[in-house]
Amino acid sequence: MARRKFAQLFSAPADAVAEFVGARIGQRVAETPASIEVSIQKAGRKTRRRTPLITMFATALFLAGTALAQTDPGVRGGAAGAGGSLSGLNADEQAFFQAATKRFQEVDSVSGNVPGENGSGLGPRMNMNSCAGCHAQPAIGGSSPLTNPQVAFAHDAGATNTLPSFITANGPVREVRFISNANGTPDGGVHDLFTITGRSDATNQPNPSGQNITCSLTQPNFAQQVANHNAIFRIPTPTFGLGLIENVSDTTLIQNSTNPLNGVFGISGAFNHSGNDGTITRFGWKAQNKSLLIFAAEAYNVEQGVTNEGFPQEREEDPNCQFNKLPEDNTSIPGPVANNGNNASDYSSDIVNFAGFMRMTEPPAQATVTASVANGEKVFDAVGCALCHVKSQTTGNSIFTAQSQRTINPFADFKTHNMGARLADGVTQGGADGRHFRTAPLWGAGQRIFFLHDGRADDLLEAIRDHASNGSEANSSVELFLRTLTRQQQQDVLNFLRSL
Amino acid sequence: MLKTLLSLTLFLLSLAASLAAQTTTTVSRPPASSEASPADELARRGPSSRTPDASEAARFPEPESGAVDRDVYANPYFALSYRLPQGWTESLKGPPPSDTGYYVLSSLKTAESTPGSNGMILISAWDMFFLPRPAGNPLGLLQDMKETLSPVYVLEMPPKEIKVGNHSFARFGYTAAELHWQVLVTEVRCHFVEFAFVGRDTELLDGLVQGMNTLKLPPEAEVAAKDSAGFPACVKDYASGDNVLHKVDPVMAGPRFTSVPVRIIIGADGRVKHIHVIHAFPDQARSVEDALAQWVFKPYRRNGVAREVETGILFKFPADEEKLPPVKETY
Repeated sequence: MARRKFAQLFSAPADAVAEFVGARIGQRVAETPASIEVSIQKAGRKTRRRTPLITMFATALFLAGTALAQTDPGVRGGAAGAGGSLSGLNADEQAFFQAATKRFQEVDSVSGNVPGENGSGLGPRMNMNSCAGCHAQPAIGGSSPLTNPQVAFAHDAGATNTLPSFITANGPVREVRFISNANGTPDGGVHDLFTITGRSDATNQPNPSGQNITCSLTQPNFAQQVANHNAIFRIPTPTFGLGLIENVSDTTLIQNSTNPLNGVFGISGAFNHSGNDGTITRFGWKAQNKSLLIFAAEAYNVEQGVTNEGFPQEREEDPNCQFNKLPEDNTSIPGPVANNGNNASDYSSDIVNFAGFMRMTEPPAQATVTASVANGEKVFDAVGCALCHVKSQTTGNSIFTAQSQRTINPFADFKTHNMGARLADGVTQGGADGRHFRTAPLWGAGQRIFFLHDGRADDLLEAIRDHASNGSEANSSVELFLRTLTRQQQQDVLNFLRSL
Repeated sequence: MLKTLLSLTLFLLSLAASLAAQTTTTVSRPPASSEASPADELARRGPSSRTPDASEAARFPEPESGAVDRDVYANPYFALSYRLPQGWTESLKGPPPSDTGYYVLSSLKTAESTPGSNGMILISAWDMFFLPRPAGNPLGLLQDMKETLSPVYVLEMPPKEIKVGNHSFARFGYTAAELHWQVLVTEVRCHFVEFAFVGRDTELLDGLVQGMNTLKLPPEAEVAAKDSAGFPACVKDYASGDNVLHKVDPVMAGPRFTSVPVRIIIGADGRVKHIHVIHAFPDQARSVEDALAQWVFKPYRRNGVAREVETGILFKFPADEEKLPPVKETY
């Protein structure tokens, strides 16, 4: 980690270099009168620190002697290039988006009566209590933030959870899946990290019949599962621009992914399909989800434990933990369930609002294209990365204003590809087996902190290298990147990726 | 004093930056054990094969069964052998065959000790029965490649037919990002067998193409005749219509809306002698193999003589006409 941060200096402009030196040194050395003021930018948050100049000098000497080569420039600073509504929406659509954004930020408790946690239906088992808690970087709707909110949430409202070893303050937000059941049959499902046990709204509280109950659940034995190599992890996928992806026709996806050049690079891949209607599924790490509404409904039940009109049963049906009528989230008949200034939103269920928010978020905007970035894109294309990370798709006819036949640049073909032994997670979802993952869209990569399905990489170079291992379709492209490109070309590719 | 110190600091930082462009770095790698995931063994899609008469199994190699041994890549299915250029070695293994019948046969790279002349060779094959974009011959395949080439590439050699040793190939060359590609394709057993050479050094690539003269392939006449003593004839869509005397449909297995490409070899007696499931989940492969073992065909005849024939079948799960109850989406 330290190596990467130092290395970032070499491709950064002078002001960023000063920022970086300040960040490293200012955290360790007491302020002295002989100091200059530098600003630190870390994951979008700016603070000011005073840094001793003599230490800067010593650091520069050190760096001159240990110069590093091509490096990930790091998380792009400045304003979040995402998080707003689709450009061109009319006033009604924008009002819905604004209201839906508030619903996406809603924090749930069991009862809805915990201060600051007005939503209800949390648990009995869950990973977090808000969509926006995990989908946070660089703006609401994004991916895992720098500071993992699950650490504090483990003890929210008196909860008595033990923090699993793989959840850390500066690590990625994670869900855990078990590869197989105790009897050896495939599992693959999410096993929630936390329970509501010990919470004030789950202790001696009335159930729907008026009887006071206390929930007392135990967490799965994560330490044992980790020791058995039976636990794999997933981090939140960014949701920006997904409404446009939802609107791309299957025909367009197929046309854009069938390139005769694939054979020169060892690439094939396959689309995942809905088991019901046979159309292409495109959301989730394995492209296992068909629509944003299904995705939202299932995530609400799995990640937060909130039953809804898509998934009306609790995953944990211990009678001492059932405090609400089901489903806990629903369309309102008697009156609005929220008061966010838009009738369509206020009368709709949370899951409809979540899907609406995702459908109307603008894709991440690319930063200024420098000469290095422009060259990086050409090199990225040349070595075959763009055969899976297909730059452009075109939407079909959309119900939303100004979104039909719109060309977008997700840098993904939405196929699943064999990513080899190193990334294999052993989980089969639809037609994607334990080695297959959906091509991750690269738009927004410039402001991502964690990469790959389990967040194992916080460095783009590391993420690229992890694409190669026995069995991976990316081997040729990674080998070309690492072994035939000049260091400047490699740096240009990294700069290009951080511009997205 | 302060100004001087600051200037010196910035100078050293810029010096460090310029050095960075010329020196190597070592990125820490996960331990090798991370490649051996127990997860990897569960329900993986891939190839499978069955020879109903086990005593004949050795007669039926598969396209993916080639290997590098003592600096020679040998593939018994294609009767192909290719001596690795001096200083080259085998790279990472490619993926298993795809559901469109695409094989990464071998990936070769220059040895680590030869910096500055790094290159790659990818040997692959397309099953012509399952091509996602149909092409009638190697030249057609490369012409299609040329027509769809990204604008980032510059043409260096338009597709053309050439002879390598005594074999007909199609060849195509292009460049981008200071890298050069030479792609050579030939046809064997209704597969396009492709050699893709890539590197920065055009002389290196020319040498590699010249080195193809040592490539050993089945005699061209046998390939053209498609029914030599060495190979069964390969005939597209032979397992259809009146040629099929008895069939049993595979039982629906595995994920829905997946396709399973299969090659079979039918004996002169019309019985299935060998089944190669190219890409399937294990339970799908078993289902296909169990069903196909029961199929009976009209014997393939050439010049009045019954012969072995090789053909392809694409099974869909479920079959188009099959109606099944709905399934729950998985998250």
